[in-house]
Amino acid sequence: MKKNFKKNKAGISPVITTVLLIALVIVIIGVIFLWFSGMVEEGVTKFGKNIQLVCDDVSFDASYSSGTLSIVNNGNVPLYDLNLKISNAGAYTTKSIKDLSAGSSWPKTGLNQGGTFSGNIQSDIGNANTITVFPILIGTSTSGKKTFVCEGQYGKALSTS
Amino acid sequence: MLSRVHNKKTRDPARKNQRFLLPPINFFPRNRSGLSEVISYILLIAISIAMSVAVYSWLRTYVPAESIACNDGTSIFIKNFSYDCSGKTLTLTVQNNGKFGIDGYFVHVSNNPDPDALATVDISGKITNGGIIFGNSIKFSNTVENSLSPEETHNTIVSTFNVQSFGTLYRIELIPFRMQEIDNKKRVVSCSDAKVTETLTCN
Repeated sequence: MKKNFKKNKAGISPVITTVLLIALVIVIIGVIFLWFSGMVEEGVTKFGKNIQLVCDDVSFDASYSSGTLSIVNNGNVPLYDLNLKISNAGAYTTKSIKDLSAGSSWPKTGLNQGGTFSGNIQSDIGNANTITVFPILIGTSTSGKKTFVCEGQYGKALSTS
Repeated sequence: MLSRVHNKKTRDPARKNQRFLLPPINFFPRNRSGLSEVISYILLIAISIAMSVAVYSWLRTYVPAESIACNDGTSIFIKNFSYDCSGKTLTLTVQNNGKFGIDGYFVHVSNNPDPDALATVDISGKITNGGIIFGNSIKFSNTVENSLSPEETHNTIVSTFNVQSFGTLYRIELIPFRMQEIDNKKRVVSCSDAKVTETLTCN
């Protein structure tokens, strides 16, 4: 049986079609972008670049003597906080300097350029062999301020003996 | 379903291998319905553009930008000091022996005799002459930037501090800083590489 194809088929105007297609593409781009952005870990920035790169610019001196921990920020990156990795006989604990007994003298906004800190932490570390100090920076993300710990080679190890 | 040819009459060499036949399955039917080409183009273009924009915005932060650092060749040294232990005053003569002007310095002292202890006592607020208190540092001038220049006529400054409340001092550290323009903004840039340390002894 032959199929009867009508020659005179009515359809949408090409102009309208183009407009609809462009609009559809834009909407789909927006939807996919929002979905993909939610999957990717949001970046935290400081000084206009990723905060992980700022760790390279951190410069500070640290020393431990007779129970007193001393920190001098001689770089250009403010130290918002410090993580202390307290090691003893193969085990370790990590504490923020603000949680220690001397933490009350840590500046609330962090240690700025040229800032210094000195506090007795003997009661907090006990018989620890080594203290490793890791700087914590604060940066900006789409959801507000976020902290970042510069770990690994950015820490300074101090002997307590 | 298997079918076997038992009939001798139809033993045909060509059909010899066709003893166990599967019913024919048409894997490629002619009448296939799928996604319209136009819609597929739209989706592909939209996905590629959206993901490229998302990856760009995330990867852009990893492009290394210029670090905030002091100019190489910035240097000062403590030409002379006078530490009056009884009167508790400390006088410093600081000279610029580098290539660039210096705007001021951070000054810390140590009242701990342990040579390993850092100098953490900030005495910038105790300056009596030879500088201006600028937050937690000393600035040489409020009107001229980087006023301590390398030129011989302007490269030395004498500053006096009242250190009566800090006990006996054993060490002093100076970290110079400069005013530099970074990203069209004037910023204080600490020159940690130019830090100077001096052991203090009473007069």
